Amino acid sequence: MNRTPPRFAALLLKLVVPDEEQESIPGDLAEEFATAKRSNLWYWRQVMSSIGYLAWKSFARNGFAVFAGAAVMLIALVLTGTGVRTLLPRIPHTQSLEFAFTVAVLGFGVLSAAVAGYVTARFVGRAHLPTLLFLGVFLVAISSYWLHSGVGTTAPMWYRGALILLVLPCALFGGRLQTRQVKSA
Amino acid sequence: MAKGEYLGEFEHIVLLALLRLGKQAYGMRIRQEIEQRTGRSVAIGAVYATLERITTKGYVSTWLADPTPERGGRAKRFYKVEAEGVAALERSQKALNRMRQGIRIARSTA
Repeated sequence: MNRTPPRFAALLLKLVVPDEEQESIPGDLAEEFATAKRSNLWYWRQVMSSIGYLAWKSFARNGFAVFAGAAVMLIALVLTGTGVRTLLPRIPHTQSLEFAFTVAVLGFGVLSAAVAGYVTARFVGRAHLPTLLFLGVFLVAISSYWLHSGVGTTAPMWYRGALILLVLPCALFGGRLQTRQVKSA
Repeated sequence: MAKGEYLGEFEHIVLLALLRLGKQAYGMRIRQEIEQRTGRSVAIGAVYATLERITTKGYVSTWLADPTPERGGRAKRFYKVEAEGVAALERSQKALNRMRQGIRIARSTA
């Protein structure tokens, strides 16, 4: 094959295509891209216009993994939330202590994302982007709202921003860690 | 007759594309055939979504062939229309013909 499709679009497609179509759909697009001399833009358009259906199909096929990952995140959130609600009123409200506390909560949040990624990969067999994306949005939404609602403060903007940026890479890292362990075993 | 026994427009088109392509019916060729004959841009995801639906209904069967180098070593998934699929096509064609009887379809220029 002389021409190869745009790398990032091909990776994106690989991440969302259901397991049973990992050969056919990327293969069809790669073949048409090479033989019919299609443009990069054409390839991107094909990926982007198919991504919704493919992601949904993948996601629907992995209901148990989603449930397991969501359960891990929920447990982590309950533990963190209980800690925040119990400890925050007792510590003196100095700026540096609140900052350290928020950093610790953020660390626990991204750690729970990594564990959720690890758990979902255990069931799906790979770091599954649609599932992890769903779990990431779930974690960020609940965490941002609920974690700070009981203590009379709202989560600072940098905390929300950092959580949004870090959750998905950490979940993917957890998933990769699991699959690497399986391969080396 | 139950609602699910009639073909949707795109299901109809995909089944006809499969019949036209015969033994060469796989994702890329199906997509190209539809695009060339209908003149409308078709996403590969839409083709596979429909293929999955009509496979579940028992209208087509599918199998994976050996990997080929022009596809980066990936296998093709072929599709074949089954007798139920042909019957569904006939039903839909007949229904359309009955609906069309007695009316003249012409684009109004007024």
